[in-house]
Amino acid sequence: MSYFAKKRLRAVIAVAIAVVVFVAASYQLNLSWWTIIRDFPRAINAFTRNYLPIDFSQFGRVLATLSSTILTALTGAIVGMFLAFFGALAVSVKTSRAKAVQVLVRFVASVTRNIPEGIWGIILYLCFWYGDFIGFLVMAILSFGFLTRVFSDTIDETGISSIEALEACGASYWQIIFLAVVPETLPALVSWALYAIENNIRSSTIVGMLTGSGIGFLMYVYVGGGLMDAKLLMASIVTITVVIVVVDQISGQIRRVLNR
Amino acid sequence: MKATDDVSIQSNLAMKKKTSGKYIIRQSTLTSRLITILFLFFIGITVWFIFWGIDYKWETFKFETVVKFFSQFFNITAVNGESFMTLLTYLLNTILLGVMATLIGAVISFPLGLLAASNITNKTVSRIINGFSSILRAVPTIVWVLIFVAGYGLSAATAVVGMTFHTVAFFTKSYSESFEEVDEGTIEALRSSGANKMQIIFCAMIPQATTKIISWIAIRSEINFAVAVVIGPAVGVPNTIGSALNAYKSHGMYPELGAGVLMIFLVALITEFVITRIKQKSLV
Repeated sequence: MSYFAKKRLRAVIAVAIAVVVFVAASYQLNLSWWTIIRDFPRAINAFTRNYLPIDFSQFGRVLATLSSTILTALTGAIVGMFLAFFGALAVSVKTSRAKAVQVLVRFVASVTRNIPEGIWGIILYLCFWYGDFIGFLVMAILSFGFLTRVFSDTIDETGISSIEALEACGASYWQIIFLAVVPETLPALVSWALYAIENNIRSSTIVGMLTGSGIGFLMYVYVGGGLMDAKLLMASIVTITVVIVVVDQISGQIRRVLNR
Repeated sequence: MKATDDVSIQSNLAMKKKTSGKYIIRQSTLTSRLITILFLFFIGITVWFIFWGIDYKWETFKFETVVKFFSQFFNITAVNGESFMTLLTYLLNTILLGVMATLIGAVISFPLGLLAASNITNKTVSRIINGFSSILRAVPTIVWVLIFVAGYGLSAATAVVGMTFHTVAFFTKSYSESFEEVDEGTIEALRSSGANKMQIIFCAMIPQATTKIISWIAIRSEINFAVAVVIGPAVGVPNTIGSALNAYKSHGMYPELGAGVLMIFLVALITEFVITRIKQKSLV
């Protein structure tokens, strides 16, 4: 078979699989696409009728809860970053010294990373009851999982020459870490930590819905109030969106400077 | 190349002296100063928040509760076959919600991504679409689902439509980036040999961007699975594993909760493994 025929065949197979999955999933989930498309204008209409105009009358409450969302996101990322730094040292091929520790830390990081934030919220809620502290813990756990992975990748990518040079001079392990590994990777580490903060602000909104902290909980209360509170809900949605955009812009600017 | 390298090294090594005649070995650059300031600022906030900012009532924390919870949580053998099957069905529903949103988003975003790629369309169109998609992207996926609750009620349709909105915004950006990275020379060559826009798109843009697009789709599947899990407890979409776990939480059925979390973990782990393989093949 010619190259192009093979390529065309592969494309046809991919499209066929996609169509089969689409039909099967629609059947399993009881989705009727005709109704969805037909009702789409009605859904938009219902949205504009119930959610707009935005009611900023409880804006003070929104701002009060907003601070705790931002703080949990930020502090969680910082604590997660410190833990992840040592986690990455244990995981990275270049700096790990004990196989058992490497396997253990890799497993822990994988568990923390692969369980979604909402599920961590539920688990920690059952252990600690509710409050900002749970939000902070979830953020720290998530950041640890994510940052351990990217930090260890970063350390893996750095040149080994300075580590070898220090080793040849007879430097101790921590001297090698703080004089060779840290200076070389620091800008990348900080820029990943900023990225983790960006992500955490999104996640902490969601976690807040489940663990009763921050703007997420306020949104949860409004959702519970049904269509009565929909206009107030919109105010908190707009606020958190603006915060996310602003934080993304600021951290994007800082990262651009760092990566230069 | 060699010469410029030497020059740059030398200019780095041109050491400043203090007034006392000592050399300043560590020179602060903009980057290092920025990092120091950020570090101190964030650490200050963290210390303040942990020690004074958080008001957690430690007297409500009982260690026995935690031990009891986890002993039941890991007691997965206590789950009977019936609830195990229910969990599996809900898990399948959750996966399919994620797959659906990814699939539809991937198709819808295709023309949008092409229109947003600045090397094939004019700058204004690209800027408008990029700006629009970045606004849509700033709204978290959960919020999109919340918005559509008013129209479709609490159903799978709400979840799919809401998730698709954010997915489309995500793909529009990542597709357009993939298209923009297509080799300028190939496009130029086709254009000068008289190819029209459609031919350029189908003969240069799509073949070169395919591997990157596939890895973006893989990345988004992972995100959408996590979102599909979370919309259960956060929004209340029924028959997903998230809502089942939320119900188990309120009814104190911890072994079932543990089994559900284990399933989610396994699915996420497999997805991550597959994605790492795909990324190694295409992104590098």
